[in-house]
Amino acid sequence: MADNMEKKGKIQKSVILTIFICLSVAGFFISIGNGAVKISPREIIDAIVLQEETVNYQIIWNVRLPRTITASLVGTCLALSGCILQGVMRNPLASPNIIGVSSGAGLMTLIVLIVFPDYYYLAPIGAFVGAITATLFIYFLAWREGVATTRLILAGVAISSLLGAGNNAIITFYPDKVSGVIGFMVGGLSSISWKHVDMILPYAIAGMILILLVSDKLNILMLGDEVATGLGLNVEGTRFLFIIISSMLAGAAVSVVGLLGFVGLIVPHITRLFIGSDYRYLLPATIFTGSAVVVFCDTLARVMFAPLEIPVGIIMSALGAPFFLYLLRRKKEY
Amino acid sequence: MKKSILLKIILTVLAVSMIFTGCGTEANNQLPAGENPPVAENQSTEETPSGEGAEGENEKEEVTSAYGIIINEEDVVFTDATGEEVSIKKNPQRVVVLQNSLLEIWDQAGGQVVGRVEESEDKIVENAMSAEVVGTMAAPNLEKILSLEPDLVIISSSNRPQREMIPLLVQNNIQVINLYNDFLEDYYRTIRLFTAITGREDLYEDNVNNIQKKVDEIIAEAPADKGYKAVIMYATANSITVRDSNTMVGEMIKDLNVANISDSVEAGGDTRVFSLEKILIEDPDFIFVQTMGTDLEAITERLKSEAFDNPAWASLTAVKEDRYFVLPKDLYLYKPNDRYPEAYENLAKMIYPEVFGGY
Repeated sequence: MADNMEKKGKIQKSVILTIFICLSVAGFFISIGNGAVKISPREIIDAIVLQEETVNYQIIWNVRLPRTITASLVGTCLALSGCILQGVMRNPLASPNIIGVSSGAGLMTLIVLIVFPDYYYLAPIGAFVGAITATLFIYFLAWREGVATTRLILAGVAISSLLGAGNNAIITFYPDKVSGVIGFMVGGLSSISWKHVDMILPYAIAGMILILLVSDKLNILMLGDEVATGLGLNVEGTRFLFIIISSMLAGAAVSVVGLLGFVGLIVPHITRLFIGSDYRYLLPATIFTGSAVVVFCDTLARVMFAPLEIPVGIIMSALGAPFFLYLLRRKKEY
Repeated sequence: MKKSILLKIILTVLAVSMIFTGCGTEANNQLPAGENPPVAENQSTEETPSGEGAEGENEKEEVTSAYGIIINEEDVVFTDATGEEVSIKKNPQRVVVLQNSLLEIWDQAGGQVVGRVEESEDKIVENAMSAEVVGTMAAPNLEKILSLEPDLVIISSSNRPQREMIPLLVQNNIQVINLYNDFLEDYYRTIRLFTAITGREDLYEDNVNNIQKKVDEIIAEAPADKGYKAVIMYATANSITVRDSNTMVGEMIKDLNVANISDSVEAGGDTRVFSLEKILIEDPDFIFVQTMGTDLEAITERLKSEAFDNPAWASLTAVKEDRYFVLPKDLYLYKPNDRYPEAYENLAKMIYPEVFGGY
């Protein structure tokens, strides 16, 4: 009986995972097929197959394709990052913001774009460095013969507050230069090119592989520090590893698209409500839900008021939050 | 027992004091009596320039009423940024200007200041450097301003902290000029207004001859039949925000008979994220990029090489034929003021090198 139930659970989860994969793939094709300029499916195929230097080819190959791939990877990275953190911290409100990624990346980017505008091209690198540095700083601040999750969260809140004040200080002292960085602060995918794909792909792939290899350790960590130690897990080392991976994933995403909220916090929960809390299924599923959400929302953002583009963060919050609330009411887990 | 009596007394005091605060705000809203009479007098005559001013200033009235400015013996009447009729006495003695671009124009009109805001590194008005600094453009200090006992304060209407100061200044019987300074027309109007207040008609004549006429000449010479299209962008690391014809540079290229591809969109404001697909389809003849950076050559080189490296951008005609121009901030991000002719001429050289010479 128990065996049957377990098998049924596995089959159900595999089915759900497959559905997520299909959604993700569908999102990919919808994103390539839609944009400010109307291109019919026939023309799309022509553009890809013939590879002639027409405008349609430029739009499909050099605008929509890199943008869709980047959106997909960004969604994956941010959602994975949030999912891992929620497990490591054992806190459903954990997201990349808690480990200082947003505030660290935001401050470094502001410094580069506003105080040293001649070096604007260094902004993505600055964002990544800022994110990792903030995370390490928070981690060591919270260290006292090990890192308790509460201390980590509190240190994260304090550091984010401090860095946020730094942001506001820069905005106060350079008010006329701020309009140029609004795009970054809100987060968006509007001038994504193949260069950005190159920037994020290695981190995304490395992160995904690492996480899938150690996903079972996250299950053990969820049982609590004492139990995990009793089961032979190096709790501090594992926690540190997960936090660094999480920071790296989120930092890579933020450096490419700016401070995109929502994905890191809510998408893991949406996934969890469908597939449950077993990280061996949850992490792979999050890869695809994260990708699907960002790709769908970015397509909408590009198409709704074309040729203007709305920041994708707005679409995600406007659609995603009500959807999440609906799920919350329907499912019984929370 | 004692506690409840105490509570009642406190509540009564609070209630009574609230009545008094109500009285206070009412008094604030009334302008000093001196402001009103000139407005009533001149309003009726504004529409008929020819029948105005028996002092032989008819010609001047015709010119100035184009900007809605009426110059009388003792004062100048104009419409400020809020649409209010304002009357300012000529030859103010102690002036504070809270915006560096307006300060530059005030200085060019022969005005002196006792107070200014912190200078920006690119716009230093030499004659004003000895004035007291009363704060920054974003956060001017009211106490400092009042301590200088000014009789006129000039503010920029696009700056909220400055706008919020107006009732307090008025309450202290200080005249306030609240201006927009976003476009060429604003500049012409401001220089007319300031020279009227300082009484320096000679400087106004200079301005008309050296600046306004020059700009008109350039605009007149620009060919009208080429049908060029352009896009104006702001260079940031992350997004393509465009400037339509309702922005300073947008208006400049429109004056030079170039169509702006971002004009087809309804929404206003000048930081709208625009689709690269649309730019590719429109394939504009010119791409102008505004930048905040100081080293123009380095930034230009970098932006151009980025454009060439990106296959989508590299496919655009404007990039291939080297019609991708980076605009320096002193002329195109900040207000050029007296350098408007230079700003227009540079653009004209970029767009019509066959007529104006190369840039």
